[in-house]
Order: sequence, then C-alpha cells, then structure tokens
Amino acid sequence: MYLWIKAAHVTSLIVWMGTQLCLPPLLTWLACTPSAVRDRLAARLHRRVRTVANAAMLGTWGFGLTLMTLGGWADDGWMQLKLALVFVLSGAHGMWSAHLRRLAEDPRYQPPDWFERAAAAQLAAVAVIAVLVTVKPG
Amino acid sequence: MDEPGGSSARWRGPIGRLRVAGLVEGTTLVTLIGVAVPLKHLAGMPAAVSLLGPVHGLAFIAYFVIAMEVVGAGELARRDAWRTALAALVPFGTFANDRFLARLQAGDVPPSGRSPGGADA
Repeated sequence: MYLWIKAAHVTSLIVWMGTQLCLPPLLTWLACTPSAVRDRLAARLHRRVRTVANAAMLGTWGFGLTLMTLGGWADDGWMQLKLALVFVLSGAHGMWSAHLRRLAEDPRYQPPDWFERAAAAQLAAVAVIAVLVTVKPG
Repeated sequence: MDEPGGSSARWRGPIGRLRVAGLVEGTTLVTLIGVAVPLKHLAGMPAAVSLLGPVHGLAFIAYFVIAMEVVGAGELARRDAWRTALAALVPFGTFANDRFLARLQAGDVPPSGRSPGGADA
C-alpha cells in the first residue's frame, strides 16, 4: 500500500509542479502578446490551474501527509523544513492563480518586477525539497 | 443571511471563497481545541485529535492558498493581509475577521492592495 500511495504522491507532485514552474515565464510572455490571444490563453490557463493544478496540489498534500504518518517522519527536522517549503509553494500557487485571473481580466495588467526572483526561488525550493526527501538528513 | 444577493453571495469571488475557507478553518480549529484536545487529555480518547488534526491542517492550507489568491488579486492591502493571516492562528479569529471581509466584499471598505498599472503594492 505504501508504494501505491507514494506513486500517487509523485504523480500529483509532477502534475502540480509541471504547471506551477511554467506559470511565471508564461505570465511574462502572455503579458507581451496581443490582447485577443492573451485573454483567451490566460482564461484557459487559469481554468487549468483552478481545476487540474488545484486537484494535484490537494493530492500532493493528502498523499504526502499520509506517507509522512506511515513513515513516522513527522518529528524529523528535514520533514518539517520540507513541510514549510511546500506550504510556501502552496501560497505561491494561489498567488500565480490570482495573477493569471488579473491577466485575463485586465488589459493593462503587467507582471510585477519580482516575478523572475519568485520563479528562481520557487525552483530552488523544489530542488531543496528533492534533496531533503532523497537524503533525509539528520 | 444579511448580505445582498442572499446566501450565495458569500461564495462569490476570491473574497467570498476566503470567507467560506475562514469559517471552515475557524470551525475545525475551535472543535480541535475545544473538543478533541480535552477528550484526549481528560478522557483518554486520542481518536478525535487523530481525526480532526489532519482535517484542520488541510483546512488551514486551503485558507492560506485562497488568502494568497486574494492578495495576488490585489483585493487586500498588506496590513489587512497580515490581519487575515494572523486570524487563522487564533481561535475565533477568522470569525472576527469575517466581519471585515464581509464589509470588503460589500464594497464598504475600498480594496487598497492593487496599485495603478496592475503591479502589486
């Protein structure tokens, strides 16, 4: 059973992160495209984030917390750091979703300057999580 | 319900979703602290905490994600965003904050998180 839950966790994670890591560059690119194209693509992408990525994020949390309980890792430092990073990534998910909606609804919308830094931080967080969960330091 | 448009108005838009998430988060927190924890420590019944703990955890995460969506939409000023985040940590905090969100949703409080030109404040 453990391996099935792990497989579901990894699948959810890939779907969630597959969408989330693409969003900052896509938002920046869409903001520079003609309005007719940008409105339609942004609305479609926003729907995808609200359905597929939302479900994948919930799956990642649900399966991940189950694995943590089964593995008895709840009190480990690496797991608490991982939980904190996933919590921040979840917040970023809400933030990207809101910016996509603004892009779809506001023709004057321009992505903020901090997008590139946020995208880099997000990528770094994913890398740290991968190391933590593989090495399980401490 | 006292909101214009009836009870369904509470659900509309990012602030409406945040209000619902806040009420769910607040209810699970109060039930956890007021019922499940006393049952565990006074009656020796840890099952309620084992059940409600993860439920409250997921409700808290959902509240946080939706709150970030509202902040990203520019519908909450930075100070109000902190107030909304801190409300989730205090029992009955989200219930108290719901009155502010209801006024914001009704347009009685101007949304001040979005600066001209679409960039964040």
